[in-house]
Amino acid sequence: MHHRWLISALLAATAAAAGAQEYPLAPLIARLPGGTRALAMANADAGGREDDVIFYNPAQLAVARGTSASAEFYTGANLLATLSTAMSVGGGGLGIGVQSLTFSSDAAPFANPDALGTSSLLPASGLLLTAGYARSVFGLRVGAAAKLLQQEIGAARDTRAALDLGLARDLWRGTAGLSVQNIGPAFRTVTGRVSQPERANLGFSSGRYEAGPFDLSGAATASVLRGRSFVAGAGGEMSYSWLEGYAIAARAGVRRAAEGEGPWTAGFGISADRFSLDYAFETRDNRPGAHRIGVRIR
Amino acid sequence: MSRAAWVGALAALGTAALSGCTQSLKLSPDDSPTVLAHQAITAPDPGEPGPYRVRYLTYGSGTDKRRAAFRDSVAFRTKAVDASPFVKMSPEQARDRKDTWGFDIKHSPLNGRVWYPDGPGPFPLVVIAHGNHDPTDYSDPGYQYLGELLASRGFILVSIDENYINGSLRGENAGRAWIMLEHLAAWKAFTDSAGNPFFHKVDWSEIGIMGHSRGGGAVSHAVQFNRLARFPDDANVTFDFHFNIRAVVAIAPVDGQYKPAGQFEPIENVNFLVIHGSHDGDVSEFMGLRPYERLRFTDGQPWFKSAWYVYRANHGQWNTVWNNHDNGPRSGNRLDLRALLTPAEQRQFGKVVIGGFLEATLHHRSEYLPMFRDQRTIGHWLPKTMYITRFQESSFHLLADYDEDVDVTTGSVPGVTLRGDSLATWHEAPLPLRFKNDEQNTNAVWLGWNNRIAGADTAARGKPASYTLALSDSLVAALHVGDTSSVMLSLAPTRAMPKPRTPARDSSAVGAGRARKADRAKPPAVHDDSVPMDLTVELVDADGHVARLPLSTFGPVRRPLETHVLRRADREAEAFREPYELVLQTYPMPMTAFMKAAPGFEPARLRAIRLVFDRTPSGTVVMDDVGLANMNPAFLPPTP
Repeated sequence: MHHRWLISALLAATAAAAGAQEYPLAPLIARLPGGTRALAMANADAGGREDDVIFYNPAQLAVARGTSASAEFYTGANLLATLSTAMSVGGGGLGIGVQSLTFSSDAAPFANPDALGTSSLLPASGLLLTAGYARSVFGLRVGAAAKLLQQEIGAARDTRAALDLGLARDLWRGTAGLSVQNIGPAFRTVTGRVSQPERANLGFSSGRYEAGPFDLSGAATASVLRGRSFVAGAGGEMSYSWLEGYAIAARAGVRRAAEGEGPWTAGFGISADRFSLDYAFETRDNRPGAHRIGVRIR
Repeated sequence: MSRAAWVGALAALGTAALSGCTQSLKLSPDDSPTVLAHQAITAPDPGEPGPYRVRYLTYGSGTDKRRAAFRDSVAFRTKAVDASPFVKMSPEQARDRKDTWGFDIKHSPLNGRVWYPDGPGPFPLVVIAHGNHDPTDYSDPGYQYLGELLASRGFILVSIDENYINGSLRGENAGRAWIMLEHLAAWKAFTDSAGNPFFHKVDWSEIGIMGHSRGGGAVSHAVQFNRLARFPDDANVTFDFHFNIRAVVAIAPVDGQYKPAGQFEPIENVNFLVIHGSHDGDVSEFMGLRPYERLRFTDGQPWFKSAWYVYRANHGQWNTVWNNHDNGPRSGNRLDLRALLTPAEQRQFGKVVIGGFLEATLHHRSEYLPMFRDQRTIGHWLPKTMYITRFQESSFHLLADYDEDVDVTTGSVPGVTLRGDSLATWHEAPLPLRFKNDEQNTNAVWLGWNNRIAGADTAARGKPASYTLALSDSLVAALHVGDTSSVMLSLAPTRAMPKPRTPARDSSAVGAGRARKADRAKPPAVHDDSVPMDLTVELVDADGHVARLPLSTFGPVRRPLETHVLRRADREAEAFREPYELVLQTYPMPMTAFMKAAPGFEPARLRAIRLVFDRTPSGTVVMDDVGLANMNPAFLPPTP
């Protein structure tokens, strides 16, 4: 257990030292959180085991199951809706995910993350469709997800394909994951080409540890974004079950934030047998925080 | 709708959703104040301490890095043994275990806690093996209460350490048995060594083995290994034990986790006691009925076997370390613990029955034998709950066990013919265990009746249904049936209630129409626990003398005991086929009781054993193991 927290601390320290430098990237939707529970824990989910892990590390689709839907509300009537499902297929796991973003933007050729939460002149939207598959090979989970990404700002619209690749392995009563996301051609804008937000993530999600009547778990991720900015985050969850299948959980996370993000995340969840309801809150840089609510069936 | 109304509605919905999943406490009505009202055995309570002062020591490797009791304070040291042929584990598991324990399976220590009487001996030696549990929550100290009791009564009890094969292993049950026998082998050396505290202190003609949970499954393997020359799974591994194991106790055992040569192993010629709790949250079905059923007495020696199903007992309270954590430290999240006997009550039951069994089998105290024939002989010793007991001893001769063929009219031996009269249900089938798709691995007969005649007249009754075992005179003569013989059968009512009988056909159209209407108007009555279940046992001799007695004369006749182990009703319904375990009660019925009821009746000329369903209007019973016994008279008196 000590190893896990040590790694988290090292990652956070390294990230803080490196600092975050931003770089023009598109589309915006490919840089946003994929899951409510993950968001509450600093958006660290490279070793997750739920269906929305398709937005973090496709290798974990080999073990992920369930279906979830969530919506994140930003100020300015900006909305991110997410739907994902994962199932067992042919000895591995198949996942499908959809994200839709409605926001507005200034007349910029691409939307920066800090565009979220504003009411700007141009109506804008983003769409992400993804399908992935993973299976275990020699004790290592290997996965890939194909993506279709679209962004529309005013009358300017472009659609591109991208690829996510991932590896994962159980380690120290948890799961270590490595993923590379958004590998694909640059988006066309009125002023030229803008790279996709390629990102490499290395993360760890712990199993559950009993601490008296509570269960504790945690997750940490360190990521390198295209443009060489380095972000990291770590979060924890404390849950309590009073009846088999029923539990409540409190979550919190801290992160070395990327552009537009704030450092703090928090949330809670309640699960009743196969169903769970989750809430997350994230602070935003120079903006009011965003609220996210999600439901899941396992 | 206002915000307050929304919040209220959501709160109500949430509360309903949460509470709807948990069950209210449901228990069968307790008849123990009546059934256990008397005490017939006058010997001292075997659950109370005896005359000996109790001494205690530990022995072991002396190097155990995790267990101070087997490192710093051992009275004498033992050599490690290689259990690798009997314990299967992956290389990863082997590495983890070596890291945890400091030794590998090839160097398994023989560690034991010994409670022994302060006296010259020799004393019977009893070894007890715990079962699977958290390996670092050491299980072996949990039988101290039994150790102190048995030592005070003149037994040496050794609780052996098998914690190092606990945890996530699945192929280790043969190892549990083999390690138990290796302890006995080590004890042989102790008792032969001048200077050892047990030098010449063990009576090697009186050995007992006990086990709990997987340890309870292991005792059956140990009985086999003790007699075999080679390990069934690898004949290159040889055995040379041959201890005089006379008493075997299985506490809430598993069965079939290890099958030598892929078979449920046969067991022969030992005294056997198995106990199991209805509210066992770990082994939640009475698996011990299977070894009970498999045990055969073939050598003409006076063996017996006894099974006790204890209502409201759990898995762990027979071990003071395990207690009510049948599903781990958070058992309360999953298991309904409200139903349980107190730990003290459950252990008191264990002390009485295990103490009585070992007194009867290893100290040859025959005054304790009747308690295994009839629980009602020890009503004042037993904690007040309900018990279902099985019993058979080596004089038992089988008439019908419903296993031999698919002909429902033939018994299990030549000379037995089976007949049914006015039965609504009559079929033979496997006896189930509680978990779906699991069985007791034996067949029984289902007999259902409804003496009411369908129609408008609800008081109309037909001739009582009956079921008869007709016996040939040559069979009765061959079995030496006489005044001291007993009829034996094992039976349990079920909850099934057949529909009323179809009335004799009324030839007039009007009459037929009335009868059909009445049938539609009056659906079959549902089973009602408040109607006592009983039936008449009739014995008929060659001269037509009929001796009749209610079955309840010979033991409690109960419908199944309602059992809800889990808090969540939906999980309970998923896991189990019925809210009860179908455990048959054995009724030993001495001929003397029938002779008293019908003075002209001659047991030596017995021709028929008949069940007459005349005491309860309708119902269904399941019956197995019908036979005759000329049992040791010590089993018979006293009866309350």
